[in-house]
Amino acid sequence: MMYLIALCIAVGLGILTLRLILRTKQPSYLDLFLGAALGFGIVGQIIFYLQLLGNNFNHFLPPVFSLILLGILIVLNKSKKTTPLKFSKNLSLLILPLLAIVLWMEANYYPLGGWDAWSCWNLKAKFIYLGAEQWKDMLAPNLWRSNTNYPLALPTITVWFWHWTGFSQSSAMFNAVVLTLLTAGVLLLGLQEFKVSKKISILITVAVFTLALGNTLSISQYSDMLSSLFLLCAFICYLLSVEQKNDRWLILSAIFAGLLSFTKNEGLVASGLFALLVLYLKPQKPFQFISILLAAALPMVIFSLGMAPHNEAFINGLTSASKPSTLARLQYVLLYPLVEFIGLQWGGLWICAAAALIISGQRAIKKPLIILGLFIVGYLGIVLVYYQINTFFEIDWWMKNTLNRILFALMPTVFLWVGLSLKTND
Amino acid sequence: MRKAVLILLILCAAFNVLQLTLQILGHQIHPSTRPFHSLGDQFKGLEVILGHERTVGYYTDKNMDNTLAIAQFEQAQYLLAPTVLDLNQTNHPFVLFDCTSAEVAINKIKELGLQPLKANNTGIVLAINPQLQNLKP
Repeated sequence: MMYLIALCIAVGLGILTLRLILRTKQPSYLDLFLGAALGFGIVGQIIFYLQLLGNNFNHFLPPVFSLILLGILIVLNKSKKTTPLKFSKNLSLLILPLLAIVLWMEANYYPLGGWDAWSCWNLKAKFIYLGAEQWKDMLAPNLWRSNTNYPLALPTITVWFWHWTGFSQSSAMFNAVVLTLLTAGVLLLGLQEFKVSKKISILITVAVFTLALGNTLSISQYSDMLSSLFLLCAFICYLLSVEQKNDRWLILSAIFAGLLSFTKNEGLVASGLFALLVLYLKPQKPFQFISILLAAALPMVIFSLGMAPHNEAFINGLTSASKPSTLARLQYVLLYPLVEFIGLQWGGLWICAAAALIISGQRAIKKPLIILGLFIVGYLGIVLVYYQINTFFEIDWWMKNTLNRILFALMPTVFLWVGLSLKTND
Repeated sequence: MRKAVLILLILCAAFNVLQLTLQILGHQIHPSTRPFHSLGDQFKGLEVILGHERTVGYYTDKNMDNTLAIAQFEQAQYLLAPTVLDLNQTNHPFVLFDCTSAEVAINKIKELGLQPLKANNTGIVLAINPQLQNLKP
């Protein structure tokens, strides 16, 4: 019950903010899902800023601050006369409750989540929630195994829900399920918003979100799900801004890209690359875009410049004599992804994506969809370069254990590209 | 060509649904197969004794290249947070011993001049350092 209240406040904050930004637009189911995603980002940032200002978790301020903000947003929405919410039937949404059942069953199998949930993400949340003035001990050098340099979007979101539910492990399980459902909903409705047929949008969503490996990673309580959601939202909002020639969507796109930067270090890379590509493609208001993105990414800037410790799990293989970056490593880095892509654990999805993109021909690489292609290639390129340069870990162990998460977070965006590329053939 | 992609998508979806169903059934029938999920249980209750202790030593003679040993340490850290566990550092007022046997733990405690405070049947021993305890405010 308390989880539902926390969720309703978060979702309410997001939807009202979104409606305030898009006030001239007829609202849709997609708006609800994007708004809910935004709400998760907003409550995370509320917790982060309050924690930073008070240097201690204050049990009074988060609900008071969020309820005041909610009240302000309600008043602003009324005064701006946003269009009332009216929804038509969309039976394709029925796949979400079915997915929810499956996710919940699996989430119960992993109540503590995967390794990094208790070693990194939920551990940081526990320090913020219970650590009082010593909460920054989570950045202590002897906790280097817990990725102390990783940012705090997911932990702060977890703390928001713990605050309402009283440190309940099931909050983290619910969050994993809700974030996955939001990603599935945004992909499904995003494709439909661009007039991709219901048949293809449903097939893509079912194929992507019933993947057994993806299901396990979804409910592992990792930040990859959050990165995946914000990345997908940023792209959908950007593409809508181009299609509708409406810079308000671009504002939302910038906000999601800013939120993305605080999810993981990979999220920061993805956010930076996304911003560069959007600027390269000359948006309507580039300065507005970049300033809003920076404002939304401010927690990441504060964390990176003022809080994050040195990454203990980094050795520069280009300069290290004891652990150099070798040619054998390069061979492995270049060949392993090919083995991963065709692996049975991906259920043929990467093969299917490649085939669909080839069949769709030039449409996949024309404006505005070219941004998706450039991003995916560029992002994977950066990731592979990092695997090659950082020689701290043995490359086979490292790639086997981490590349699948990176690909998993990228998959909804890849299939957005696939779906949109197939549109002309509908 | 469009049909070929559609068929491929349908095949992927069908394969994934089947694989996921088998995974869920496997997990429901054999819930004990979940990896590393009860390792932290051995440390339950210690958070009450440690209270607001900021850092506690964690001594182990286990090979920390072993996945299970690291998992146990990390789960102990999660369970006892916000207390920080200082791996293989014994110069703290409290030290946790997670050894291959209770005998090894007790010998090490004697060698370091510590006093055992609490032990459980899984070999986890919490010891105090009387000298450092006296220095506490």
